[in-house]
Amino acid sequence: MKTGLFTNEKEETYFYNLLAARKLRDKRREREGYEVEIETALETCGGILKEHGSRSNFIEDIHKLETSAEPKSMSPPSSTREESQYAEQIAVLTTELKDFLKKLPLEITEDLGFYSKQITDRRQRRDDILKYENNIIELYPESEKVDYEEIFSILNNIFVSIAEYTREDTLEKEESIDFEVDPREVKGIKKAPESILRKANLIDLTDYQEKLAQPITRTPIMNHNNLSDELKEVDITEVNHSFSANPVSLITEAKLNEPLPDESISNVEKEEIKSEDIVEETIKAKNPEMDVQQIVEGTAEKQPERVEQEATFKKETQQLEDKDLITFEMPEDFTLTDLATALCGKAEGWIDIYEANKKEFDKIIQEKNNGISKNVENNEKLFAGLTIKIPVYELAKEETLGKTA
Amino acid sequence: MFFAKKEIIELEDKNYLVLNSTVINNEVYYEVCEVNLEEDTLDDNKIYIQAIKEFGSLYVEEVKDNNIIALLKDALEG
Repeated sequence: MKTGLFTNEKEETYFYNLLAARKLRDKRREREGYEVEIETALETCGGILKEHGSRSNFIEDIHKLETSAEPKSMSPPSSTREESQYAEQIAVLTTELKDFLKKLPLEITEDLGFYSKQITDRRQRRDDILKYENNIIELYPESEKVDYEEIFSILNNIFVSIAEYTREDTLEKEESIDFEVDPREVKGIKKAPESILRKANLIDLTDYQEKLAQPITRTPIMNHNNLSDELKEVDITEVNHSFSANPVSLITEAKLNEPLPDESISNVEKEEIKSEDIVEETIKAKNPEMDVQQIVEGTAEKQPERVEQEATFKKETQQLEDKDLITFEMPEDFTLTDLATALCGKAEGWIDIYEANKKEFDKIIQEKNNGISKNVENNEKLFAGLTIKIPVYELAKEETLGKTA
Repeated sequence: MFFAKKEIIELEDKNYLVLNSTVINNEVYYEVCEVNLEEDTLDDNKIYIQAIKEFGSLYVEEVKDNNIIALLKDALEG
């Protein structure tokens, strides 16, 4: 049928060569798929037979002989001497296989029968495709060595006007060959956002490595239970501002007990300090047993030395006393043991995490898990979305301190 | 391998997230699903594609052969 699509015979030839090449490629892939299935089934049969003491993989041997015995020309099967020899060998192997199968349990025989049928079926399909491929090559000999660049340059006009020829009456000739609208050009490749990865369940530990490797923001836990800790917290910056002395952030109990020389603050300033009732009240409220004036004098006088000592003390207390924390939002499908493993390499570390968040966790367990705390460390959903505090493990802490030092 | 898992393949009008990849008969196949980055959603339907590089451009083509798709499903789910 003349479609009128082509302006000359060359265009038509190239066009059908292109379609044939595509079809040939698809059919070859399909055939390769069947060949893989045949190989797999033969291997499986071999495994079963070997397991039950067979001297060889009879099914594979028969398959090879049958493949070799297939007629190479248009002459009928077994017409040559060579092919008749194959037939004899196949018959011998088949008999031996049958005898062997009689000794096997029924279910094993059924399995082998299933794979044999599959092999026969796939061989039939493979052979059909092979014939189809040969037909294509016979009709379009050039389709095997298609030069796409040349074809596209020749058919450029055809592709531009091809949309006009998609009416039903012009498709008769193309019906037998599937024309694919693919391929599509890739415009770019980029990393998927985390929100999409979460929805696709593609988040794993590697996605948190970057987050976990970030410098740890340390928040010391201050214990307000006793007086010495209370004193560490005394911030008299406000007091110093009121009498124009340099600010000092921390005073320790030990230093407050030291005898302090009366040198650097003038009498006028002392009078001002005395007159500051608010200042006195503030300090007295913090420490009713201490002399307010002594505190103020001491801090004002020994300021540089104190600042240095206090900084050392603060560092020491951070290192020795308190556990540091980082905060972390629990992702979905992520358990406490996963997190502990990621942080310190030990699943048991979840107990420390639990202890650091006991109050919040107990509340959630009560509300969402009917108060059952058993196996919560492996629950993937219970704490999802919760911002939790994580104690910094000793190793991580030392590394961080080393870096900052 | 032209694409890696967790990458977005940008076509002219669509985006696809690479879910997985495998090699069958020396051909690389990718399991992908369509994503809408503006609405932050993804399609449940998984499709299988191949990548072809021709004349300096990269193209993707959907696998439509049911036999290949069956092999891919086996390989990727197993």
